[in-house]
Amino acid sequence: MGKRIYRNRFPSVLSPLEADVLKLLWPDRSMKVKQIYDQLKPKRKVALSSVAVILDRLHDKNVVERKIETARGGFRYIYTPKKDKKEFEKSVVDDVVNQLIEKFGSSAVSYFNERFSRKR
Amino acid sequence: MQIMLISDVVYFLSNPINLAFTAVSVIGSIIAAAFLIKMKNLSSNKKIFLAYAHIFLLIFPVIFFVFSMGCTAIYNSCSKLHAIFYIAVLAGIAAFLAGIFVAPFAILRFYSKNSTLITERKISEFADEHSKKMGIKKPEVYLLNSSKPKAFSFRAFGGKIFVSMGMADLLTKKELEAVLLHEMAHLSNKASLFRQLVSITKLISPLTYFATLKKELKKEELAADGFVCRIQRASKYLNSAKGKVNKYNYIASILNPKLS
Repeated sequence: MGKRIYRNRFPSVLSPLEADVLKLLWPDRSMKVKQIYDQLKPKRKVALSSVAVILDRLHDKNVVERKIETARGGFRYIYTPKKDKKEFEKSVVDDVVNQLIEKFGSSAVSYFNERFSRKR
Repeated sequence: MQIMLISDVVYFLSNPINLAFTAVSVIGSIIAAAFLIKMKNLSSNKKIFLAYAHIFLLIFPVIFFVFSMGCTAIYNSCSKLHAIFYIAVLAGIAAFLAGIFVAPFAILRFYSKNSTLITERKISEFADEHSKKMGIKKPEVYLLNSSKPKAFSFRAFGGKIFVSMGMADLLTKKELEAVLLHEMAHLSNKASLFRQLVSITKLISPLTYFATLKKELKKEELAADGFVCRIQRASKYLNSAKGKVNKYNYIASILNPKLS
């Protein structure tokens, strides 16, 4: 049940390849598709096309931004993370909490109250 | 003159069948335009179809009106229903033909908005060198700001080639040259205009999707591929480029159907 909710309800959480790509871009690095691919290749089985698709997904999710760079007769997208790791994690938690409250309403709110009072 | 035109339009629209044709056509045109503007992740074929549908449905009532007002002879010689039928068919054909001439402008304008003309020396020199050898006018090469790998050409307006950023990101220099040569081959091939018309007609009328036309299109693709292999003296760069693009589309379709 938990896993199903995780997959269906929280699309903003990253896939393993997305997480690996973002780890390379954090903190505040700007990289091209090929550069990210070259760094990932020794660590895992990945194709250049997969990295390109993943970066496009991250761009659509508003996690990274991109601009065109002209260099040595070629054109490339340069990708930069929009938020640092802490800000991103905060936004994911925020999103998850909002969805829980939206789905479970007062049950979620009272759970959080109980949980945070216990921690104190 | 203006009053005569207004009274003619009022007379034309007072007929319920004319009014129905016009209303359906205009509403359809607006819907096609709305889809084209709102749905950013449509495939190129669907965008072209919507652009043609929008233009066709917009022009149709105007041509229908012009034919209706001009065809008094037809009204005299056969029943009103016959006249309306023939006028509708004639107007449809005229709108379709007008669309074929107008749509390339609209499509080109649509893509140009998201593109920049490449003035970079190496690419410019490459296009210049090979266009001279091929005996064609030097095409303008545009960089399309899109992450999806695509490349296409327009023979109209002196020849334009569009290559996306996604293509530039995925391919090596030699692979990109192979793609440019492939598109230049399409520009130099006189059958390319036929290819564009067939692919556009196919979108509007499924009845024109004959096997013989498909064969002609495939022949032209193979001719363009053959041209690239002759110039580069190898097929590996073009094959590699196609492989990367196919892989991208396959992965995109699995991870996110919207991206494909």
